[in-house]
Amino acid sequence: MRMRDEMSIAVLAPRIAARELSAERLTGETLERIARVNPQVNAFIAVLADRALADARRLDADIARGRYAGPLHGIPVSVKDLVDVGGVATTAASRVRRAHVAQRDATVVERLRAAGAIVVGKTNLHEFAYGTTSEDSAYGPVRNPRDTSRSAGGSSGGSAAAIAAGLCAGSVGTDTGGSIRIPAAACGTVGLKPTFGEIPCRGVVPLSRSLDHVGPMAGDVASTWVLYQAMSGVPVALPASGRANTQPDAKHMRVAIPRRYFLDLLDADVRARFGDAIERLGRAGAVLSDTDISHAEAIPTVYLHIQLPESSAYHAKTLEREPESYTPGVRLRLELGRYVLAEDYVRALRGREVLQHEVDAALADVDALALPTLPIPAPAIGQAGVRLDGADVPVRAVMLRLTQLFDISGHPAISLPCGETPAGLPVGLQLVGRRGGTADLLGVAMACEALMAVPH
Amino acid sequence: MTREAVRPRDVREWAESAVSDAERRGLPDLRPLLENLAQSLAVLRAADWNDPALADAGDEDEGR
Repeated sequence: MRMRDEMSIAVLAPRIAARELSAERLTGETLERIARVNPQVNAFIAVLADRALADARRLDADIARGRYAGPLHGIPVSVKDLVDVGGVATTAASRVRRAHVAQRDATVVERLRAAGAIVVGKTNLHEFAYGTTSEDSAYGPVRNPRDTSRSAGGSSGGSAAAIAAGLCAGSVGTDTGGSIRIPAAACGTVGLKPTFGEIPCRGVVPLSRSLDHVGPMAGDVASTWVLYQAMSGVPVALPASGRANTQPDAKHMRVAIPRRYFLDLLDADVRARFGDAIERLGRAGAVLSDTDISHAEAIPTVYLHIQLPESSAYHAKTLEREPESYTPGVRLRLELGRYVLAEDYVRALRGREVLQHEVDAALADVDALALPTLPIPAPAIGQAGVRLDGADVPVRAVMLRLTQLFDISGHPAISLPCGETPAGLPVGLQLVGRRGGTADLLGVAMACEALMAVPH
Repeated sequence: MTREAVRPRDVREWAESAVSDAERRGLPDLRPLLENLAQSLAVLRAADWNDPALADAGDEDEGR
């Protein structure tokens, strides 16, 4: 069993509940592994060892007194360092926030702690979540545990890398253009962007307020489900017993594939693994169909004309005061957003409504849309461009290509592993559900996950 | 350093004005980003949802 599988909440929670495994032992082993592995992957900016062990002892005492909080009791999690943990710096991986200390926990952290989770550390990211590779960080680049010469994806790259390396059971990520799903795909883990507004962003440094989402990341869908419940503030329970380990009933599940635009520009290995995944769904009895987003070509332009000025407005004062404190790439993009005119921002907001209606329509008669998460496997650290289907394209644009629509539209979307390239790099399958239907989407994802694990 | 007002009518004028302003501010590296943004802006301005003044009023959202 891989370390990532051993850290599944579905595996750990029953052992903790039965007192076969103490929170203190699990936390201690996790901290030892972080000390050993983190120098290679640079997933953590801060490790909260003393505090985590103290929390673990308190939680063990609670269990001894018969006070079990549920499946997250004693589970070690990490938090993207864009999200406040009271008493600890929220650096956003930037020199700009070097003197910051959070006064209180973000709402999601409060909820996770109330459910019994133990925060073992703050994870590295692309500075201010403004990038897809987690390279531009004041704390150095995050490295992909599968191949440390490659990016972990971003911006929640430290969270995905920590999960893939077995350094925590789950993490809090954020997603504005794909920042939960992209690193999940790059590292071979699971990442969920819930419906827009479903999980509060209080205590989260914004990138683009009308696009920002907070969501869970983990090694499997069951763990993601448990974290999602806690972060949503609803009672936490494991998914239906053992379902993740049995052959799912995918029969009659209706899945639509948006082929035009979304499958036009793909790495050959990603295309092959996605094709395999769809074939597995079909053989399991899923009802497959094609669909179309008629304004798909406008997705990047709508995204840019909303995200750029919203980000620049947030940073404007700091950018005037200490521009040199930002990494060069992030500074340039922040400056770029200051040239977007108000009338073009409004045009993009109208475009968002059009795209949202088109995604709603594509989902009207199906349970989910299916498409790849990332058009390419994890790029090499420092790689600026990639050649796809005879065209040279910038890495940043291509990494956002398949995820940003669902930040624009607010639909829930999840990435889960669906195989590897011949070089051993993970490929992600992205599933998209109806707005307000995040729990239903998780059910679809759980059925798909079991299918992806069955030998071909 | 403050920026000059950028009030162009079309995409080309917007791009020229923005690039000129960026260079005046000592940010020549912004030029390729602004040129890419100009291409994106042309797509945005040409989008078929951008002519609401000629549409039926009933096509507009209610609740204003």
